[in-house]
Amino acid sequence: MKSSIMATGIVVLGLGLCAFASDAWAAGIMLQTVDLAPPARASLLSDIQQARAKHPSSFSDVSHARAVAEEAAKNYRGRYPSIAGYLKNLGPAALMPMLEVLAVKAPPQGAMTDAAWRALRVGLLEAVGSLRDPRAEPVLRAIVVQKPADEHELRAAAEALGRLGTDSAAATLIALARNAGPHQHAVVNGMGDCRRHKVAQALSAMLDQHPSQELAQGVVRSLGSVGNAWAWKTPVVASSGEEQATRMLAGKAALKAFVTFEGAVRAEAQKALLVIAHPDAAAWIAAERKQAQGELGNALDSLAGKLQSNPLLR
Amino acid sequence: MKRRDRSLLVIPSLVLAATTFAACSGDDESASGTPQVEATGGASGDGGQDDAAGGTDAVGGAGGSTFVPDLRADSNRNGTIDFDDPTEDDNEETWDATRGAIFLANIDDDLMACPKQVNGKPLPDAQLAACNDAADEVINGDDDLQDLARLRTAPWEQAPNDAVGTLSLSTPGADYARLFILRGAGFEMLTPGESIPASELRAGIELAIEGKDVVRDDAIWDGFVDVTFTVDGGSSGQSGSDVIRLRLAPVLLSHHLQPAEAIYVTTIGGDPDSAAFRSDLSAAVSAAGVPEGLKGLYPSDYDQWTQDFFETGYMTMPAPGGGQHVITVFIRSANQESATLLRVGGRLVFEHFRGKNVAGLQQFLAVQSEEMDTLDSFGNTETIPPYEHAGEAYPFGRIIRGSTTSYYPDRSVTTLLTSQRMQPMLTVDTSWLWVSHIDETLTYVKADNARGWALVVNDPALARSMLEQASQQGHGNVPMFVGKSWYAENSWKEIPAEVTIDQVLANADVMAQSAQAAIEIDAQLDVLRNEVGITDSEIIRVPFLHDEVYGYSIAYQPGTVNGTVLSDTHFAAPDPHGPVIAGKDIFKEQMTETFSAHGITVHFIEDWNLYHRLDGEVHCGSNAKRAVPAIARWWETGR
Repeated sequence: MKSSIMATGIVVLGLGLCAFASDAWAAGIMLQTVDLAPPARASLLSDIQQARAKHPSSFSDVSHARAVAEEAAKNYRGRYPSIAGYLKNLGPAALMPMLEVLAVKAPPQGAMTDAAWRALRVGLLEAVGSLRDPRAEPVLRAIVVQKPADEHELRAAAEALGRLGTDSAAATLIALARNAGPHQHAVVNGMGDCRRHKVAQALSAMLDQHPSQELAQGVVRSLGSVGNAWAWKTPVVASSGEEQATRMLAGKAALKAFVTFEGAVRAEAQKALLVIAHPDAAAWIAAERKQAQGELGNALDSLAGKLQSNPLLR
Repeated sequence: MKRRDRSLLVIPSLVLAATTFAACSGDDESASGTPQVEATGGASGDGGQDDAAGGTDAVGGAGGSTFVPDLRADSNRNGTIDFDDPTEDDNEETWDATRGAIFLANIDDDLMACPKQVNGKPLPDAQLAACNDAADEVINGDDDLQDLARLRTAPWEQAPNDAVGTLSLSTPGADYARLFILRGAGFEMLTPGESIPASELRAGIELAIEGKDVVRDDAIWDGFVDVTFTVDGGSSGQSGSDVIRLRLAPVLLSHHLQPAEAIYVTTIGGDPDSAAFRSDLSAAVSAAGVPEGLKGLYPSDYDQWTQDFFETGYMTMPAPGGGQHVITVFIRSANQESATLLRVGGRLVFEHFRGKNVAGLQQFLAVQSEEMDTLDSFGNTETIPPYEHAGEAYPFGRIIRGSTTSYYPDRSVTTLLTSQRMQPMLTVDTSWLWVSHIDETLTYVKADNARGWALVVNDPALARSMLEQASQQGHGNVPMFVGKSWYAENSWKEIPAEVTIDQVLANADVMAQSAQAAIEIDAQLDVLRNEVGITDSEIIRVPFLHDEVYGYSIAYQPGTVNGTVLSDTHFAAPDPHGPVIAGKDIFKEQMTETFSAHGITVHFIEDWNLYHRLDGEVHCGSNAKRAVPAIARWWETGR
């Protein structure tokens, strides 16, 4: 009798511990699984299961990222500790382990310092973004839509979503960027990595809304990124087939910003035009110059000179 | 020990011939710079000749000479005090490029007596820095006496017994300087307002002056102090005063045209990556003939970023024989471990370096942004070598730092550096970089051109074109970073870093970030083109690509510009681990050939594990003490 009671107790205790453990790990470090729509959730769980069978060591590698982040937080260089270098180089096999940590189950922060915790979260987002795998989209979208309070986490999530380059990713970012608020700058930054024509259109339209200097500067910088000449030479970006239209639109919008704004925004617009390095930029500037006088005329002359010696074209 | 210093040659005055006197009428001589005197009666002078300054020669004898207080310092900057030399006296109350006496901040520790611990525990930061030779009111030995500038008064042999003199310092300089007077066996502190008795006036007094600190904010104190010698002649009926202006020597930072005397590197015992780095660097240092060689440092927390936690400089004043007396200065970085603790590695400034003719300096604000703390590392403080441009001469070069209006280093450190005035600061935008240090994109090497040096600059476009060319020639599958791996702590498995040329060219993030970096670097160059007059022919381009971290830029390939100038002809660069084609690493080959054209040998240093993959390079992991120019005539700059 006593032994059966004891055995029952042990079983109950074990079930309780399991329940406790699973409760503690019922969420990822950025999302709860329920934050995903059921079809996306089911697909993700299935993908994770298959990945675990195929690449079990990748799950160990990703789980080790906590230790990497803790160590990085004790001895880092630069603004904050970063572990993106470790995670990015785990390769495509690390995608599902990283998504599991982000959205399905992972240990909570626990004793990790805030700096290490952020290094882990941002590192995972940056590494997922670098893989440009569309299977990450539901998780990334859900994170971006939730608008993490940490601007670096939101920026990393927005960039990661943008890098997917899908129509739906672009639409999500464009919709979020329309709403003013603390999240807006981070989302605009992320749009720079979504090199699609519709994103260039949206950014251009934002400039027509008379944004603040700070927001305008971010928008212009993202225009430059969207039209980045070297990025468009890579297959993953060029595959959209939108290079010509996107870079032209981005370049013209940047020039318009150069003419419309002064100070830091104009300086950013100059950089954007140089990064876009569109072959017709000189002609656009010449056309604009015909109508410009005084200080603007001088600025356009200077810009034309800079384009002639564009370091990207040396 | 107090003793009379005999190293400074003081030419005995021929009082009757050299000392200036007012006319017997007792008119003041103002504005010409000669000492003031009031003659209220008593015997008149004998009508001696006017001296060059417009006064009258003294005449001796008790029968009625007119006394003019005469205080002298080395105002003509020849290293001596000369009562015979009118140039020593002319306009001595002024200070400009042509004349004016100088003194030093006596913040070294000649006896190496400053404590580093209390009860076996490290001293708190403030306490550690507070100790130096000027922190007490005594002269700390023979060597310490050498650090003080001298003043002397001309003897007044006829001073009546009730004559009395005083010496005073102008404000605010009085808070930053201290006078000593030679009495008996040695110098003792002169108390403010203390009376100088007639006996000392008759003999003439010898003084020494020390600065208690460097100029930290020239809006509060600009380094100038007036020393006024006032005499009340008592029963002689005469009184007067004389004023000398002195200036505290500024702290000057070293530039790369000053030969390295020693190269420093953090030693992490038992660490093979540290050993590899030090081994390569040691060989390079030996090849360069650096006199003191490679010196290991042992910060208590094994901080491997030796460049960051201290900066070297110097202060000088004229010495006899056309020489100069030098105090080397080590400045601790303002990086903070926490709100109450400065970067631990910087303690070496006081625990290791401070000593005889070596000063330790520390400056920081109590509150600094965590994100901006990286800008306080001294990898973000460099010195452009000397140049002239747009009618301005910078014989000691200019300090250059990464800083913008919204992203800037500790403002109190900026104030300290700019308050030295000799190396006007230039800033460029480094905010786009992850680590945000100026040394990530720019450095300076000696060159055989009109300027005497060349600007070395990162060129991502050149890196891309080299890889594109290699790919087009059929080498797209050649790997780079062979045998290297990415960071994995706690002995976790190594993550291979090897990647092919085509994979790099296809990496959208690396390509995008490298394009942006190229434009940002060009914007930095625009500043140098405008402010320094740099032309393309004076630029050496060093190719490497960039990657992105937190939305900012970091060297993807080892940042080969981020190396250490060992001498005019030797440069230590990170090993680029580039693709090897036809038996040659194409990036090593490019850099070797480019530098060779300028007579510079490049030594490639293994820095991947301990530095590159932790966001730094060779320069970040080393530091240099450089030879002080033979004569650093900062006083002639007019600044």
